[in-house]
Amino acid sequence: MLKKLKGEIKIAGANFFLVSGAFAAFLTALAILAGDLMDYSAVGFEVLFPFYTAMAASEWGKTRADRNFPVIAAQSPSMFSWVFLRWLAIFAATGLLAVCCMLVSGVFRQEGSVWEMLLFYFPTAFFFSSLCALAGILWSREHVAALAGGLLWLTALFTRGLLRFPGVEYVYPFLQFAGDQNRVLVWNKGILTAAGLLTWGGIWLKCRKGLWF
Amino acid sequence: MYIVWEGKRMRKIWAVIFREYKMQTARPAGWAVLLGATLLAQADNFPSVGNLRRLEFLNQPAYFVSRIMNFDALVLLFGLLFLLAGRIPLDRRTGMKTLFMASPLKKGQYLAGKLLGGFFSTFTFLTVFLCLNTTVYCIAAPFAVSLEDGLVPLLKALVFPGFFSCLFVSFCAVALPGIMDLRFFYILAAVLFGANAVYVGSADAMPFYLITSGELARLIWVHPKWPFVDAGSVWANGIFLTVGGLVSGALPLLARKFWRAE
Repeated sequence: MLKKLKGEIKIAGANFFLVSGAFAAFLTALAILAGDLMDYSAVGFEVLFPFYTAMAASEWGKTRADRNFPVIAAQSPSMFSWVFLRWLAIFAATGLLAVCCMLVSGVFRQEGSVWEMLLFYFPTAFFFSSLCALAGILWSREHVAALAGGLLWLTALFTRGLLRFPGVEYVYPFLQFAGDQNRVLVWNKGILTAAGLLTWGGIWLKCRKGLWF
Repeated sequence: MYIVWEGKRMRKIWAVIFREYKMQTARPAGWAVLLGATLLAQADNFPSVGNLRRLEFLNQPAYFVSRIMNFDALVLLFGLLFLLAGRIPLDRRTGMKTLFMASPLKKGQYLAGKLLGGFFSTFTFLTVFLCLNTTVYCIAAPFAVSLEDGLVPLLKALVFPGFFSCLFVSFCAVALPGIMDLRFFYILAAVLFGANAVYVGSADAMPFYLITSGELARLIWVHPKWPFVDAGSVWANGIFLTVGGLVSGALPLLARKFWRAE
């Protein structure tokens, strides 16, 4: 499995590391330069980094938009394991980078523990990147997965006002950023993780049906 | 002689513009984004009894147009940005750029065609979006809305933030991925659009970097409590959008490698 993951990372190419490095540098600079009024851990690890993970999963972890997809679909013994490994390689690499950024930002800002930042990041990134993986397996056009993930991200940022309705706080993806007034963050992140898992159920069903062309 | 040469040059640019425009407007994804943004706009601003009670000024057509321009048009432009951004990389990958380079077409003509084609298609989508939503508002409003009340803010929205926002978004989206990694461009755009989305309006002058909700948008509708518009900020917003778009559009023109065989 590790060999396959390494192979997927190689396929992602050098640009993945260059762009990821530039993004991590930007976030570190933000950690150093941003004032105390900014809730950096929420902005950085609940809003920005999950978006980056979703973009990376949809752009470097292409599935149906991959030019070699017909060959892979014809010869791969299990499409689901291929889709999952490709996604996992990108998700793990960006997750590792996110953890490094959390540790570095912890040096410059005393804004809660790394565990809290992990709670902000992983469920949100898992949810968005899983949705992008689903979009990537549903549509063969390039950048449609990134478009779907990006639009959902921006719309979620816009619809903070919906938190006034009861129950929305349980499913709103940027709850810490918007202000967790009723202390339901753990529930919220649990529901996001469950939604991500449900998305993977959808991907499994699509791979099982296998009607690609 | 000069007029004939000029005419040929313009014909080539128009050919690229027409191709780009046709490609963009024929894509179902663009209309899907338009539909999504329209549904979002109507869900938030439909003149129902509940929404009229929630939003104090929703009984004013100018407020409605200003509100959908501020929020929902940004979602539309963000979606269109993703669709436009792949145009030059796609030409490169499919070999279309090599074909263009082999034809008697100059780098400037190719770029001008691409940029203007992207601009016209973006402006078309925005126009349809604004007209559609305003029409629904005027028909569904439980009070009489005169043609003038609906048309004047619509035209203001199309001219002031609309034209400049489309120029900025389309030029950046078409040109920048031609000289940088497409994913890096997505990240840069997301940071800018994200900053636009989370900025909360106030009585003070808005920051110049806002795309659809900057000071230019105050020319559509002003809050009755703060009826003054800061002319300096309006200019700053307009200059940022225009110069930002034009500079982005000019960058591939300055990049020597852009028009070379790979």
